[in-house]
Amino acid sequence: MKTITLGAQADAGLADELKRLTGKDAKRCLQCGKCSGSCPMSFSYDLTVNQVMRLAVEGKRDELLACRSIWLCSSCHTCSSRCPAEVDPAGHMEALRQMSRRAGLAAEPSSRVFADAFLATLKRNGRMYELEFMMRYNLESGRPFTDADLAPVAISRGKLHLMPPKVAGKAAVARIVERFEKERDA
Amino acid sequence: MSLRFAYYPGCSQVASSAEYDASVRSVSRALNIELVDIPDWTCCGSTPAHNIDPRLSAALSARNLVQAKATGQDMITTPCPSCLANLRNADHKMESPEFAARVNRLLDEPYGGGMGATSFLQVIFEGVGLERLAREVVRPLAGLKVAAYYGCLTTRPAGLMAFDDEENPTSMDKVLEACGAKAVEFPFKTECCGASMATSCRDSVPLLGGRILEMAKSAGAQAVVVACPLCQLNLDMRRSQITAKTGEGNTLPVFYFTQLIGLALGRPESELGLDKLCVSPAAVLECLSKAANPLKEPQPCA
Repeated sequence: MKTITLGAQADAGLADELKRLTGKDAKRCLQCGKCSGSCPMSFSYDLTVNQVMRLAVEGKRDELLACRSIWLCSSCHTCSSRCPAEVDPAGHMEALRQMSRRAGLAAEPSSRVFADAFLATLKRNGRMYELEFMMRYNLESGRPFTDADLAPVAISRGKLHLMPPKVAGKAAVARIVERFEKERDA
Repeated sequence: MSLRFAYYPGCSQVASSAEYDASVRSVSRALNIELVDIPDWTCCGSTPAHNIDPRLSAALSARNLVQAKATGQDMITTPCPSCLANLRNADHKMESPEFAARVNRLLDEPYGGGMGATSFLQVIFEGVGLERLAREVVRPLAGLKVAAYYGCLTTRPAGLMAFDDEENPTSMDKVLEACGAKAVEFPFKTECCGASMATSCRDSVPLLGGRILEMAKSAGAQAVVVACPLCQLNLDMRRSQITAKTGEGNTLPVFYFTQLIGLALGRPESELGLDKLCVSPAAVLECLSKAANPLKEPQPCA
């Protein structure tokens, strides 16, 4: 776990920005640590969930947007369901992922590539097409053999299609993604 | 009571979890649940879309709410908890006119609200109900010991899912018991299996899924039963990866709850996609068919 000095270079607007995105106030966090104790992905984190919440209150924008934990969260919502102060740590982790992406600070390239590969696949096919998604992910993540061991069993069980799905609405999905990208980049 | 829903299978159910879709349809035929296919449905955006932006996620889901409305139904059912969360989230968030306007800008056809969504588990548990389900059973599951594993999203976030107890759900246990199985005490009902982290954090599923399987085994279960396609894939197709990491040779098969209901309702095995499971369910099936042999005294599986 990382050590971060509080007080220096605080961004006073961070907690409010998160409040706007999540509808919850991080300042109500009690620092009880129940979120961290409940989190199944803690083993992989550089900041515990309660540290993330504290840093949000302290306005440590750069440290949060560049931390690994937000990208390793599996969105299981156990933290939020057990939080006695009802500050929705899972919602904060998700809002921080969105902000981290926009700021170009995503510290876990594989998680960022996962989302990019998913969206690119969706834009082309209208639905998930696992083969294209995995090829995109494997090429762009620099981990070319990810899950290649599963291909034989997946293909033999008819669980991995070798042809893309036929989806009439794929053009409508592409338009949604294009409009989103245009607004985002404007 | 008429049970008719717009049906949203979700992407997994036409690919890696085809057996979930097949068994949902088979069980629906047996229980007179009418599934009205949503024409030209598309992906709800899954986890990546809401990690990128809430509007993108809502727009991808709302397109399907619009398509579902065209069927004349006001309620969708879907087998996938993640699709359900996205569809419901879009409908709930778009109750805010400001958010709805920003989402509708991304859509060809605006979503004007009014489309509900429910899980297929909830349809069975509340729509069909345990009494009627038990009456329809023709081939009881003979005391088969099962660990009902709900995963994260069947009950969480509680405010959105509004179904069962978020820490100790019992709906699937009761459904399986109505079919003649014995649900074991299983403390990891709602622990996360690693979800979609398996690809980008490769230690996640071997560690988390491995714990769930070991707990099911030590609880005395002969099978794990799930209601989520990602939980199923992680615990079943990724078993070799789990075993490689943990060194534990756990051979528990992982059924969809609809496959076991289908067996209990006497649906043909060919309709339930049992041959698609990666970890062989042969031992369980053999014991069920022995128990159902009319020439012998019924033998419990356990």
